Amino acid sequence: MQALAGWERSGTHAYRLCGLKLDSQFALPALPEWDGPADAAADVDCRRGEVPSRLSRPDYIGPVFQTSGTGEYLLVLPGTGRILVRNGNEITVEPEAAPAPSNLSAILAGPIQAVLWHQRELLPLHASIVVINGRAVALCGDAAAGKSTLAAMLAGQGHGVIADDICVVDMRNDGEVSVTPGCTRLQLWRDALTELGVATDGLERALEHKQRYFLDCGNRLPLQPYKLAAVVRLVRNALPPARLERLRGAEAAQAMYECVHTQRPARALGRAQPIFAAFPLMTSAGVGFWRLMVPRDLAGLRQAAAQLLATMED
Amino acid sequence: MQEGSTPDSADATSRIADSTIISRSPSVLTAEVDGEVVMMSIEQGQYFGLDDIGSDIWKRLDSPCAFADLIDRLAADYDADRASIAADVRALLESMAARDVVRLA
Repeated sequence: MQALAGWERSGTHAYRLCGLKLDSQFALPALPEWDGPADAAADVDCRRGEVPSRLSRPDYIGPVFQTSGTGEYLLVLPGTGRILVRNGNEITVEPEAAPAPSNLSAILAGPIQAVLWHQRELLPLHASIVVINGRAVALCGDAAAGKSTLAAMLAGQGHGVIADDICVVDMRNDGEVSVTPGCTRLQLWRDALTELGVATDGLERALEHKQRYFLDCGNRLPLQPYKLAAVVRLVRNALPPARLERLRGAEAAQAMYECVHTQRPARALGRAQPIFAAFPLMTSAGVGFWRLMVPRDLAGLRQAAAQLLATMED
Repeated sequence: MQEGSTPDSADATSRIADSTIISRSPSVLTAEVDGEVVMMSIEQGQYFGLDDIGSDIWKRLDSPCAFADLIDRLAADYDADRASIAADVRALLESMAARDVVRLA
């Protein structure tokens, strides 16, 4: 197990952030290590520094974050610290304590990464991605909706995972909607692993002192962009049996919007209009929108996986 | 009509009188998908869908108009009695106003 003592390790870590190179002074174990040329310049820098407690000219001031235009986002989290994200390429962190609080890594890899993508005018979804028949299927949902557990079950049946928790939709090529591979490792609680019949021996811990582990589910898929076939919003703890329902029109648009990681910062960063415009583009590019009702127990999860495969392989 | 809760159709509780001016909200975004007009208020982040008749009503709101005038124009084009058109349209406009896709003045 790689120790998280790496927190205060001096020097810089290099990570692959969906094709970009991220240099970070903080260890971010949720992200894959940089595997490109060692001398490549960083696209994004994450470093320790002084962060103001407020922006000089904020357009939006919320309870925990402020924004100015699309280019500046300031997060102030009592107990953790202050984080400033600028222009999609610069993250400055002033932790409140040393060593840095243990939740910092998850905040940087999750919500802060999402802000970077919004600033870069891409669309981050709160989703794990499974490749079925060569096409990407986004499993979306809130925390604890079962995205990673369902993805792990599908991976166990031979399908590759190319993103966990956050995925980036790219629509810069006309008429094409693709997703760029991010992290092929899923983060799973021990209960979920036990349910899936996976032993935790030898798995790296995702959170210090917590029973949460990394499970590599890439199944050796090439890390290239994949055409997005479907956005599936998971509804957990549904009454059995599992059901997969096609959504259309406003219902589909609402489901897509609720999958954005996350709506409030996206709106504050002025991204509401492009996100709205993304929906008809996705529809005309053939992306289907679905709701998957997943019962709580393992049998229900299996049923849900089987229904999803039957529909997506069709 | 679809989407959203249907408010009381009883006129007594409605915010919409014959003289109420109905206008499109300045913060609304619209797109046509699957033959349905889909709209969202930027401020609320709530989507709203309109069927064919709803879309027709939306088109007629390209400039603000009084509720009674809107109903007169619809009654001239649709084969239904004015009172039931007024009740249906009032309910639709109430739920559109609740999602800030139209404004009432």
